[in-house]
Amino acid sequence: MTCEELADRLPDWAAGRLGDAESALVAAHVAVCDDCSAQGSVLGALFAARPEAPVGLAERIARVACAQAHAVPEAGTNRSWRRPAWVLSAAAVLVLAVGTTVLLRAPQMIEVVSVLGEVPLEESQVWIADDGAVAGAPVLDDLSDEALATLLEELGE
Amino acid sequence: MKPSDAGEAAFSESELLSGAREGNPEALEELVALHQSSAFRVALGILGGEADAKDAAQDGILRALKGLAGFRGDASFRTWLLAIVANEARSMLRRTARRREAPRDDDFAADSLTGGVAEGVVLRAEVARVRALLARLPEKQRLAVQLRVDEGLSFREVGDVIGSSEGAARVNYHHGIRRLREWLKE
Repeated sequence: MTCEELADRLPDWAAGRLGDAESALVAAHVAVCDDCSAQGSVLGALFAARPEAPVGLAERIARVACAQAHAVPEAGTNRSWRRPAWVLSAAAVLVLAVGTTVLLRAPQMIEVVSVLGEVPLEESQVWIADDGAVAGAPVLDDLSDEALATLLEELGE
Repeated sequence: MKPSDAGEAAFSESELLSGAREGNPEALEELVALHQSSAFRVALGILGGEADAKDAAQDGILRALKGLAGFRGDASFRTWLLAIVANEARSMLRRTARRREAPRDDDFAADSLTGGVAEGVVLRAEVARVRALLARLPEKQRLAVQLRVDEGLSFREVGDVIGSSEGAARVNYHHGIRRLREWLKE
């Protein structure tokens, strides 16, 4: 076996991925070739020091994946350590849509048309400031999952 | 496929993928457990920081699982998944418009080594140093070395993940290894 023939297999040998027979062939060459031996040491060191995923990552991902697959969140669990961007976007669009509609119309029953569909709201359900102006959009970044869910639920009823 | 994180798989990959498409929680959990470390390493190789790498690994895996219907099986699931994670990590790098985080020397502390044939042959401090030097390679060389050594991907698969031909992946790998050896001699 030449150094060139060995070069592509050396990473698998250094990582212990070769079968016994092939591993023995590579080891026999490495034992008599300083250059391949040095390269094998570097590759072995790289493999030995490869980082592993942090503890808890798989559980977090699996929990969100299962929730997505069934679209039924488990009660009391944090479905994601980071709120997906689309939730914030949808909430922001909805709040903006409500605000814009209230500014333009003042009926007793308000129909809000947003990307989420037609959402009829009673005036009492819309946040209006003391001076009669529509309150600005809340700071959604600071809302907990529960608070955001409540907000979306209230706006959707 | 040789599982790298969770020992021998109880189910074949096609069984797991079929179960995951149906939303089977066990299949989803096992797929995630099998591939999470590879996904994390690829993201870490691109982003450099652990917190961002966790986010990119999570987003990439979730995106892949959500798009399983689009997986045609032309490549292995792992290669397909790692390409998605790599894209996710690059997008994150662009979104945040910042430079890759330079790894700290203690990111590769000898205490966290996972073992391998070099153990007992190479001093532990030297082992940690090699990994720190890897982080200084240009991205394509770094990823080519990582994917070939850590994940055992073929050069064709490495090319699929880093977006290059098989030949270019091989060249990037060999240049990366040569440079690492030169740095180690300094």
